[in-house]
Parts: sequence; structure tokens; C-alpha cells
Amino acid sequence: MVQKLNDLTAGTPEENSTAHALSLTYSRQPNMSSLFNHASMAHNNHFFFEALSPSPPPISNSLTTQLNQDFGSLETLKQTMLSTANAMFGPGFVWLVKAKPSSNATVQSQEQRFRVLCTYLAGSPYAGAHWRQQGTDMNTVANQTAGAFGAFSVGGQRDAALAPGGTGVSPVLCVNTWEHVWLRDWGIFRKRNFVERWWECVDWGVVEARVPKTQGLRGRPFI
Amino acid sequence: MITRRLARPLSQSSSSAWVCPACIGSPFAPRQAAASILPQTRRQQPQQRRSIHHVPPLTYDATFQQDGIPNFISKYGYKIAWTEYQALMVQKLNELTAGEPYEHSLTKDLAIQFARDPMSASLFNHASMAHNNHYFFSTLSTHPSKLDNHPSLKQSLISTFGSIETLQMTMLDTASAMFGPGFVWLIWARDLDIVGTRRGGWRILTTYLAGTPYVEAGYRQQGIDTNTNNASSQSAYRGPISNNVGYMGQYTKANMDKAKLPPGGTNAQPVLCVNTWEHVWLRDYGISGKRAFLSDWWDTVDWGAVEQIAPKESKGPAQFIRY
Repeated sequence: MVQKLNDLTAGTPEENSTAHALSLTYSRQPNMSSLFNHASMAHNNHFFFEALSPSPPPISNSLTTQLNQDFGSLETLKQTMLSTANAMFGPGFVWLVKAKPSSNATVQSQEQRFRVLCTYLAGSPYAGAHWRQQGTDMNTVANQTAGAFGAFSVGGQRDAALAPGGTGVSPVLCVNTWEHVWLRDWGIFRKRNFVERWWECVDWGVVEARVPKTQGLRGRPFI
Repeated sequence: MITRRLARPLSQSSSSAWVCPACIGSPFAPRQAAASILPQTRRQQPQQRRSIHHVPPLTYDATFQQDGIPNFISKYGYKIAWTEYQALMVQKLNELTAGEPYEHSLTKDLAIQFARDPMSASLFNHASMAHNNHYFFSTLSTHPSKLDNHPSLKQSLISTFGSIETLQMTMLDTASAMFGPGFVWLIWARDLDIVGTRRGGWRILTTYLAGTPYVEAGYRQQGIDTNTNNASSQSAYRGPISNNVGYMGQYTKANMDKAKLPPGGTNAQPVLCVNTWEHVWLRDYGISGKRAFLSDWWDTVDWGAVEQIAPKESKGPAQFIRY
């Protein structure tokens, strides 16, 4: 991945950008699909390996509480991620992300929630990489803000820097289901076993460190 | 995520010697395969139910299992890519079709039928993959026939591609550039040339994952794969244009209508494909060996098998018709 990335960026102004930044920049440019794929794959693969540990400590109570709030139980989260990974036909990633609903939702539902999401091949989970919902109209004056909510508020303008109506998505964990990861050690029939074993090797300390901190009352302060 | 309840417990199914009907009548299938297309003629216990789909027998399966595919895939690689993987596809296919009205359908028909049905995505994927994988292995043999032995086919390919080298490089470069697993197909597309040189033409097509090359399966929403094109080849691909003009050429009404169809024209007959899924080459070539795998594949293609599949009008030189 890194070799191809170097080949594709050598001599360009981007040669020093991070893989993550490259994947966000080029995700919507079909001419640059090869660059996007390699950058995004390099980033995703790294993300996967960073959260693995040979003898991970048990998951903390605070993270357990947060996950229970959004999934009911850790077991449900585990089964959701594993079943999703197992059901995907073809290689990709299954992500645990913390995500905010779109900016035109009500204030109460602005709070971030944990969600499971899957991407195929080198797909990117980051909202900056693609356009999800059509919400805020972008054709407005760029630098002024007005009001506490809406397209012209500070929050609205910040969201407008994302795709229109895009949500803020912060991945905290992923599993890489490309065949080259598990074929050698598990064989063609045992992808499910691979994913189950992966769950036991997750370093939840790393995951917890990745969770974005929310301010105040789980979201924007109500004025 | 949709989980499927089985129509009957798996414990009640047992394997049978059913053979994929695509093999019936083909030159590389054993003769006795013909009998097993009619399971009704066999006696069945009411409690026991046979699995309908089974790994189709390859002509050279016994040799491949023992020695691998010469100069190409080792016996271990063959075991993963065919024996085990195809068994996995067939097993899932049996689970997904058990008790349904289409349980006897061919994999190709299942793929075409369910390509546009998102609720049947898993069924489509497994049927299409089983079909594509079989296609790939059926053009490999222990003593592959060289293209030079099939002059009419060779001449026909040269008419389209300029040279066999160009065809080879195009297919291999395309396969190499694809990010992620899939297939690269050589297809004969009928009814393409309105000027009537050969009532068809050769095309190269890519499909990702378990995608199907058959045009009847539905519209390809993305006409070109931007992984395998550069700026100039992309600009050569026209989007839809509204007016039409003239009697012959690309702006006539007939040709404009054709342009709205998916690439491949009205009818596409695949004759050759290469399977670029990682499990096919990872064992024998390693993670950086995809290009070497593709080169070796080209040298291993049995052009005799390809010629048998190729439709009659695709073999032979172009004939010019005066208007």
C-alpha cells in the first residue's frame, strides 16, 4: 500500500500528506480512484492493527456503560459486528463509530451515538469522504454566522464544511475482513472463527482513547 | 442485516451427485452427468432431501488435486480456490434455495434473476460467484492448447484488438489495476456494429466481487471502472446525448439507442475470464505476486476450451458489407 502510495504521490504537493487526508481529499474524484483506494486502505489497515493487543486488559466500566447505552449489551454489539462481518460478501471493514445525526435534527438528538457501519474494499467511513444526507444548503455566504441553529449558525457552518447534511463520524474500532488477513491462519471456511477471535484481541484501552469527548450535557448546550 | 430462516433443518439434507447443468453437453464434462439433471427419476425417502447443488466436476479435477495446475497453481492453491471455495459457495447456495421454487435453477439463471433484488443479495452473490468461479476453472487444463492452433479465433481477436499482445496486455493490466477482487472477462457482444461487419465484437469487461457479466442481469450503473482507465479513455466514453443525426455512424438513432444500453450491447457471451480474488493467488504468489499470477494465467489458458464456448459468428475475419 505504502509503495503504491509513494509511487502515486511522488513529486506532487501531496507527497507529505497523511493517508487519511489523502483519502478525504480524493474520495469524490473518479480520476484519482487508485490514489484514494491505496490511501484509504493504508489508513484503514493501520486503524485495524493499532487496536490489537496480544493480551488486552479488560474493557473499562465507563466504556462498557457507554456501549450498553447504545447497544443494550456488549454481547449485542459483539454479535452485531461479527454477524455483519460474516455476512459481507467480499472484503471490507466493519466499523464501530460514534456519530452525530444530521445538523437539521432537533437539539436533543444531536447527541452522539455509537453505531456499527460497514465499508467494502477500501471504502472510507469518514463523513468528510463522502456525502451522506442532503440537509443544509451549501450555497450560502461562507464566513458569517447568524442564530443558534440552522445553516447559518456556528454549528451549521461547521457542518457545512462537511458534505451537505453530513454527519460527524468518528470511528473507534474496525475489523479488516480482507482475505489476506485471515486466509492463512484460518482457512477459507473459518472467517467467522477469525472474527470471533479478533473480538478477544481488541485493546479496549486504545478504543476508549479514540472516543471523542463530548462537551457538557452530551451535546450542544441548550441556550 | 437480514437473516434467513431455513425451510428445513440442514440435518435433513444430504449430498448427491447432482451436476451443474451448465456442464451438461459441454466437452469437458463426464457423460453420466446428463442423468442427474432429473432428480425426480430417483427414488427419494420422504424424510431425506438431497442437496440440489454440488461442486461441478472439472475434467481435470483429479489431476489438479494431485499435482495442481501446471506452471500456475499448486495443489494447495487449487484446493483452496476450487475444492474448498466452490464447496462453500455451493453449500450456501443450497441453504438459500432449499424448498424454494428456484432450487433447481442454474447458477447463471439465479444470478440474472436476482441481480436487481436487494433482498436476495446473498443468493445473488453466491450463485454468481459459483458460476464465475466455474467459468474460470473450466478454461484451465493440464495440456492447454495454444491460440496458434485456433487460427479463426485468433484472427477474429486480432481484428478487434490489433494484436494478441494488445489483448493480453489489456486484460492483464486491467486485472492488475482493479483494486479488490473480481473478474476480468473477454466477451463476445452481439449486435453492436450497426454497419454490419460481424454482427458483434469482442469486449473486455470487469466485474468486482461477485458481479455478473451478463447484460440481461441489469443495467451497469457505472459504465467504466475508473480504477482501470485514465483521463483520455474516460473522456472517450460518452454519456447520453439527446439529438441524433445522419444515416450511419455513432450519432444515428440506432446507435444512440445502443449507447444507452449497458456496454456489451444486447447480448453478451463471455468466453474467458480471470478470477482475481485473493484466495486464488495468495498461497502460491504472495501478496505482491498478483501481476506474476496474471502472466502465468495467460500462458495457461486452454484456447481450445475458449474456442468451444465462443459463438460461431465470433470466429473468422471481418466481412465488409456495402450499403
